[in-house]
Amino acid sequence: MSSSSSLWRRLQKFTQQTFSSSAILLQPQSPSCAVCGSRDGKTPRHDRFPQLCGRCYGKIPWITQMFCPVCGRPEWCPDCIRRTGTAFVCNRSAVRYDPVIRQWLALYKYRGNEGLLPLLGEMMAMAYRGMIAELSLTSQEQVQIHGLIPVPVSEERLLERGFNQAEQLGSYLAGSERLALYDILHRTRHSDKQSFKTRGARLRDTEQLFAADLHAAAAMLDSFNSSGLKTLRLLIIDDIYTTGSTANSCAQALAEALKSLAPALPVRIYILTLARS
Amino acid sequence: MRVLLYVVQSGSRSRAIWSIAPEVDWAYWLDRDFRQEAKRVMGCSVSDGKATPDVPVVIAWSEPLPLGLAERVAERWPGDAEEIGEALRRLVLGVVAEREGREGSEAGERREGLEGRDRRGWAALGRAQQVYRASELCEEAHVLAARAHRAASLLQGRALLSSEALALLEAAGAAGPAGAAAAWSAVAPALQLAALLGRLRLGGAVAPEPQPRLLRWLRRLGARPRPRLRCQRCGSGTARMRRTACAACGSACAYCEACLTMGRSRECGLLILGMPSSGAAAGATRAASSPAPSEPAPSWGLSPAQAAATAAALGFMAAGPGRTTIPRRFLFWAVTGAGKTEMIFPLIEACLQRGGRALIATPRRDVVLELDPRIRRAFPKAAVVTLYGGSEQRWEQGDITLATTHQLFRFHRGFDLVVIDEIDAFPYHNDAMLQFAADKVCKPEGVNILLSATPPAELRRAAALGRLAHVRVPVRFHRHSLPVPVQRQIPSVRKMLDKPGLPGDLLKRLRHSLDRGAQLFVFVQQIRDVDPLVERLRRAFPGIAIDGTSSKDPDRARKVIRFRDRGIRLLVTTTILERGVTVPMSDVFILDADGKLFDDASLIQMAGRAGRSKDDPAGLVYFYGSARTHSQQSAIRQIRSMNRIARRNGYLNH
Ligand SMILES: [Zn+2]
Ligand SMILES: [Zn+2]
Ligand SMILES: [Zn+2]
Ligand SMILES: [Zn+2]
Repeated sequence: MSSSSSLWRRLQKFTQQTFSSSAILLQPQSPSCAVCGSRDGKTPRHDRFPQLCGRCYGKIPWITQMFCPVCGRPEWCPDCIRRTGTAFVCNRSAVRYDPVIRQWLALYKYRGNEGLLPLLGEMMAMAYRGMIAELSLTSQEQVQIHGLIPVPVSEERLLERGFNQAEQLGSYLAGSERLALYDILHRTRHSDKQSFKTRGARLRDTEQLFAADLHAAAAMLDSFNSSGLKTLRLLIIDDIYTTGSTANSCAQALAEALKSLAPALPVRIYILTLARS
Repeated sequence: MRVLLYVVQSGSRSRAIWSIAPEVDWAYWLDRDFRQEAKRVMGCSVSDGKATPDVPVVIAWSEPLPLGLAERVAERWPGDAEEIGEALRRLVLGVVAEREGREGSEAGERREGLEGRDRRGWAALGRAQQVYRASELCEEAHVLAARAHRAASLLQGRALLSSEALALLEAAGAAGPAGAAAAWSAVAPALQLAALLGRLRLGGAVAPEPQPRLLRWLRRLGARPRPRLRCQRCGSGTARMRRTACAACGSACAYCEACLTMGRSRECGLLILGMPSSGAAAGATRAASSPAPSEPAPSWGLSPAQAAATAAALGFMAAGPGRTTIPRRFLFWAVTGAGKTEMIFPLIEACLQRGGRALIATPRRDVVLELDPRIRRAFPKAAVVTLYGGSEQRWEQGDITLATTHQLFRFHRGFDLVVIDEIDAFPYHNDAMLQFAADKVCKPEGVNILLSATPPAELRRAAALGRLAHVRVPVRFHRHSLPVPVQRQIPSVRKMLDKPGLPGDLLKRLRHSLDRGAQLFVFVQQIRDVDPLVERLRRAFPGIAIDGTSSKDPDRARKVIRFRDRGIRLLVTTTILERGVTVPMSDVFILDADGKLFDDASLIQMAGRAGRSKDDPAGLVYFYGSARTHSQQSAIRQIRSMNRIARRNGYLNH
């Protein structure tokens, strides 16, 4: 009797081990390029982007110089001149929103290929480091970002897509740069597809599209209290920067909430986006 | 998505069900008039009478659950449970723990509504909580059932994700009130009613494989094996799954990477299978009444070999399904240039005559586009639907469907005859997805016809052992024997290019083919060898138009056309041109024929480029290599054997 029950126990243990280890198979190591599927191993791969083949890496349209100090645009910029009451300091983007990036983002966002996240996240991380270096240089001190705030998507889109790209990119960045992510903003209403609208309509439409959750904002401030910070620096994260109205609307909502919670605290809000259109 | 899980109890038996539109379920179970009206409109038997005298009790879980979780609970529900609420709680708890592993289970419990004052998490919906009053209901039942009926007929034979089903219904004007944008919330009630009446089967797009008995037994002992997931659409297993945090269901949810280009198939996503209506029996009677042809009609103009093969397939189709639960398979082993499309026509005709639907699947889009006008010409009265990525006819239903391989994933038991072309070609080659898709798209009582010049070894073995019905078409349509490859020994292409010049034997035979006015295919293994070899050949044969191409060449299509028009006389290429390209009067030179990239099937296909036209039926084929390999011997043996069979049957005409 006792020997048979110990056999059962061994059998149980065996099956448990077998099946828990099979779960590891979920993510196979695949040497093929995450974007084009090529197995070409001849062109050396970039250390930070091992998931891309040499050809695809070469297509990344990095933004290497800016014209507009506010939005980081690589050419002359009418938007920033026109805008009044900008609630953020500046935007920086990793790449230009060219057909290549449009395709990669479509694979990720619309087709749902979440396997591209490490690639896009690493691009964000490159831009983040560049941004910190630039800010530190201009302000003559080591600039520190205290928190990442992702731009929310509507509930409807979230259910349909299964994820919020800004939140995923933010989480990736939070992990790689050891930063905290705060999910404070939400959408107040569902806006129609932006692409069908004129620029003016788009600018008007995004006003008060976002609101900050005061409880969550208060909780965030509490988490800083002990450090006795002089200026609070927050970074809003999104995938694409077009006219800046979405980012500005988020920054306004965030600034207002913080003003009501901690009127004396100077707040500086920055924007980091993957692509600049 | 999240769905509502509930248990219906009637007498001592109970059933767990999950719903995408619970208000429909409440009306269906709690209101007898609604149920009967729905059944009447949907054409189900209404012999309710005494069978269910009482209104059943419905006990629902208080929170919507991730689809995958609800599905697993429903599958494992013991029909004889006594304390329904408690049994439900225990089962949900168990499945949450199994999905999340032990550590994660507490968070999971909280999320799925298991935590709370009394940890009961369930609420009773009894007789007292009927959702509609009877008078309103009958009309509503009528309207809803009519929509459900329409949706079920449109989705019959399909396997679609929810977004695809919505698009299909919208295209047919059946997605809700006219003019309004189609919304999931508008179609879900109709789909749910159709599912309750068995006309649709709703399930997770990625779901655990059915459990072997041993595992079920071990589970009772307390083991918690994590079930292996399978994509219900493309058949891929755990290796192609990626698990990510999912906002749609609020859990870590797996999706299938293998069929991502067709829309995302995921654990909490719905896969909607359209089931045959009970009226399908009427179609079967029609089949029995019309005599099945056993010979192809003379009007198809087939050669004796083609006619014999087609007659064999017709006989197989007419033999009837017997008691199988999976479609029966029949292999057409037809040599390159046998004229297989012509042989399929009589089979399609026989299928249509019996009121059936036929599907022809082929791996390449250009083949689909080339076949399209031929099919339409051969069957002018039939509705032909042509499907490929971006096809306009995506949501149409026809008598004959022509599709690329990937489109098969969108069907489920939709066809009586399924013809699968080039079963050994990419993307089928050694691919379990083919078997899965082919079995799935064909009705269980239907027939799968497999076409190949080079069937994979496994099928050849099954045919030889008598386990796979098959017929060989050993001769080309022009009734001449296949050119038998000549083996010659020369150094490898790498070594050849290291030295100046080219081997004398190769030069002599190339010269001979050029002199006789042939078009020359020169196959190599490596893309990097193409350009240097072209250079070398141009120097050896000045004045002859020589070019090269490969999968990386953007100009490939243009060069193939120029080669066909004799604007290029000699084309150096990789296996990319081993199939499909037919050029009159061509000779074939295969270099590095001993290389590992050329297996016997590949060698037979390349050799099959020679002697295709009636005017030059005896092209020349050479295997050049530094060694004689098993693959070369096997290819030559198979070609010889086909010629022998052709001669024995008197199919050759010289
Ligand atoms: Zn690539
Ligand atoms: Zn600007
Ligand atoms: Zn999910
Ligand atoms: Zn799949």
